[in-house]
Amino acid sequence: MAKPRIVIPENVQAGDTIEIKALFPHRMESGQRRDRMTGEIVPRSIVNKFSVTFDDQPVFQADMMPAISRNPFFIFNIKVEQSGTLKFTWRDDDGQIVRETRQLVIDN
Amino acid sequence: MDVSKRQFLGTTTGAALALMLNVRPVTSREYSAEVEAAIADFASGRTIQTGRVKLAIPKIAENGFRVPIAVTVDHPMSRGNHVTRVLVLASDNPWPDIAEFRFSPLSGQAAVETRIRLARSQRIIALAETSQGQIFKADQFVEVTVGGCGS
Repeated sequence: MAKPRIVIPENVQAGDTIEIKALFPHRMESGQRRDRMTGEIVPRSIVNKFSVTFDDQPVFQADMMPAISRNPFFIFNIKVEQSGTLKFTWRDDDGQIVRETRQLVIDN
Repeated sequence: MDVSKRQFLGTTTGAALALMLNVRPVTSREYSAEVEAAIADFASGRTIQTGRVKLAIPKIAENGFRVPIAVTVDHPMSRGNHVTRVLVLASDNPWPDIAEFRFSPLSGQAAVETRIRLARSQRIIALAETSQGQIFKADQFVEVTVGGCGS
């Protein structure tokens, strides 16, 4: 599986509210689609949860249903007071978990 | 013969057929029972107010598989008074729920942008809950030219 893509702005000052973008490559099989060969419904298999913490404090969480498009993409905000660690977690219907960590560094 | 959908639905046959096909007029002012239940569940008895919730969605979406939406709640995000959750619903998708988002004072702003799948033209409904127990709601109609479910 391709890696998640995360975009964090540079030149962040203490007190800024910044935008973070996160994209997770995933089919997001909705459970609505029919297999063309067999005619059977392809069962649902989606990423159902995406959560972000900063120094282990919650910043953003998305509980998703199949109506979220393939390769779930989110832009959300964080108010930054000091440098710290961003943790991104994605969980899918099978209970598989993918984690990414980024350092958020503020300019002095 | 050129009969408009409105004229057709106005006849007894049309109404019966619409009921059989479970076709709700796209511009229906009422929500389905399922959508009403999802709203009631979120609001949990609290008064639903208008304002504060801003939806940015294209008026016409060319691709129902990938409709960009942005929800912003114009509300403080202080420790004692902040947006806690935002629920986004679709009025005429196979299931009403699209996603529920959670925020904290660390968010800085209760806002999110994402891409969603819409089966047909319909309304997007966004509900916001605050830490002080207030509920705000907004909705917007989006026309979908190519539906994005089941293929």
